[in-house]
Amino acid sequence: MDKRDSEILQLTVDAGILLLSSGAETFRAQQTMVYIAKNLGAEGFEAYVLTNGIIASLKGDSAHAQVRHSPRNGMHMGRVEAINEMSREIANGVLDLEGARARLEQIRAMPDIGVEDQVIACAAGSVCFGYLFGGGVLECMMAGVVAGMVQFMMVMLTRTGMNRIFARLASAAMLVCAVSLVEVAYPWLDVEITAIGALMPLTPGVALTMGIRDYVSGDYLAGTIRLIDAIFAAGSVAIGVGAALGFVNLLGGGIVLWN
Amino acid sequence: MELTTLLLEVLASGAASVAYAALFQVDRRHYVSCAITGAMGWLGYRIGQQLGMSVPMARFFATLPMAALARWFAITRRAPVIVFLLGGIFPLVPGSGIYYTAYYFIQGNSAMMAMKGVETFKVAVGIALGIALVLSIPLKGHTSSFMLPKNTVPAAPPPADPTREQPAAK
Repeated sequence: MDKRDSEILQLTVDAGILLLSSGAETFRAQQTMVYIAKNLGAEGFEAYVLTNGIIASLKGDSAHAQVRHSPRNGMHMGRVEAINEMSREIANGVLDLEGARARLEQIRAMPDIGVEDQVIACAAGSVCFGYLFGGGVLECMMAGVVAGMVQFMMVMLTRTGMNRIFARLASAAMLVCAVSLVEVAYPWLDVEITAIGALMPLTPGVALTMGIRDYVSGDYLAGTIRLIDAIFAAGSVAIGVGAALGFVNLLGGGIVLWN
Repeated sequence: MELTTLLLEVLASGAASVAYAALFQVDRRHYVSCAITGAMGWLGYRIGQQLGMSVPMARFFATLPMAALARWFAITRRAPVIVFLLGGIFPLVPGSGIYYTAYYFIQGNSAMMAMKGVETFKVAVGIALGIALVLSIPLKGHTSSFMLPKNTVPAAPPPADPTREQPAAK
């Protein structure tokens, strides 16, 4: 019985960590873990979930505890959904402990989105945003092209282990340089719409909104972490843009290409 | 506003939602639902503007049908609501507002920064309130944050908020 308790704890914490690192909210990770443990027949399970870690204990015949740090990976809603499905099947009795463990391994092995797909998705999104911000065909196309390039650069920079803040800063700076080059070729281009459309994947709009949503639901800690994340992301983008604008204007020899 | 422009914008909003859903690695079979959710958000926003609402108010107004739709998809397609919500709110969230706020801050233009910052904050609060409002409407057999099988478990605990349950002190 004691061994089973520790295995249940291991499984629930693994599931919770996978949820957190795939971009699920803390309360979802918390609820899912409690739900899985309860339906596997473990009484006395407690979990405290932070944005980047989990503390959990299970008090059966003897007490077990786990403290785990969650690395930050990219968002993966497919995994979140699969773990949700898994917890439901555990509750329905379709999956037992062994089955759940095998399922969790499958979920962990789900493929991540490739660089090409990320570039295409960002480009397509920015084409649409270019239109929503009132751009014409040229602005939309250029926003898409630049956004694709920027996402490629983001991925490559993060892969080298660069700090996310500096990766954002460098990508935003590159974006401004690219848009300015396009403007040299097409002087009638609306630079602002193009740049903002292309910037959308870098801006932390969702982080800000979801952070406030955490506040509204009473989770001030998770909300604060997301809010500060959003502020830093916005600041790094703005510094990148500001620096690159200064540089471009310097190259323009006093002619303001874009203010 | 012309109907064709509106239609194109709504289409663009839906397409943007799918693009970001793909980036967040939502399962392919949910793409159509994500597109409808995102399109609904922008449609609601434009309708709100036509009714003479301010930008934050219109975004709040737009979030209501959008979040309701996301929740409906979550129930019928048996997936967490965040799957549909993340892509759906992307056209509405104040991404450019945040950027302008930070940009004016760095440029030292305090007046513009304050203006943009307040509006951005209002928009974000509006969207967050709209989501929280729609998701907290109790539905039988479904809690907003978690899908529960209807037969096995009576009710899940509400999202971590111990204070809400307690009667007012004093």
